[in-house]
Amino acid sequence: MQHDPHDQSPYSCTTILFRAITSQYWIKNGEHQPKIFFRRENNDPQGISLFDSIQACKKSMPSGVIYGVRSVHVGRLLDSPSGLGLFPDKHDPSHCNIRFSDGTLTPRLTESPDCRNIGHDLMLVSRPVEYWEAPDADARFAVEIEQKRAAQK
Amino acid sequence: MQNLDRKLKEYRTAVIDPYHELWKQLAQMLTLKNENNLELRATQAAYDNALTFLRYATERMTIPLPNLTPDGEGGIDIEWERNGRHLALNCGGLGTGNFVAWRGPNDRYEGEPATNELLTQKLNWLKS
Repeated sequence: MQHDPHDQSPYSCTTILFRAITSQYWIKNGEHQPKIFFRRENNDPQGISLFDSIQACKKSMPSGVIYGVRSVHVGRLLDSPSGLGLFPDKHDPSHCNIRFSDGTLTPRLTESPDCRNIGHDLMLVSRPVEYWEAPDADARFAVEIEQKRAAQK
Repeated sequence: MQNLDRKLKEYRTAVIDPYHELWKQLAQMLTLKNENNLELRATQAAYDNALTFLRYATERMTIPLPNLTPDGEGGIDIEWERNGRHLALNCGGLGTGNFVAWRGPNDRYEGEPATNELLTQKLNWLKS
């Protein structure tokens, strides 16, 4: 049975979440690659991880090393053709997982071509945060979003 | 002088084997450093499978040089792009689950478990 993912999501459609880029190999010639959103069992066992801030992305790796951040638009994610949903982490309010809207895990690279399709879909609903390394990145992002929304009114 | 000798040797090797650089890049996948809980260094099984698939293809046809990246689970992701067509071979870290995926311009990926025949068929499609 199909569900409307917007009905289940604990996040409003205008919410922006963030994906940490955990390897230099997911970036080619300075361009983010769909591999950023491939689900890997060792990194994303409960789903493709997203965080509610750039700072949370930076803290997500015990090494403290990440290579970039992408902002993800929740409404566009829920409307993507792959049929994705967002599932909050009960143990960490800053974290949630992308799975199929019925709660099942999305496939890995060795399981289905949909791993690549989901990677491409998620690239289309996200964009790089160029200043992710700045200590005030979250504040800058909030101002940027506010300005964009004001301009759209 | 030693530098010149080394460069001359590399040049000779490249002339003899046009895929010299590809084999070199593939071997480098065995030396990557793991980080952030990602298995970036290729397993021997993934390397062996990738080498077998690529050798089979290069012995039968001229192939474009692919882009090699770790898949983060000990496997190797081998990708080609030509005229908007995308082809990928993933050799899984466990040595099983090798997968070929492809898509035309503006299409979505399709895919099947990898075989030598499927890969060469799709490489021909990529080049056509």
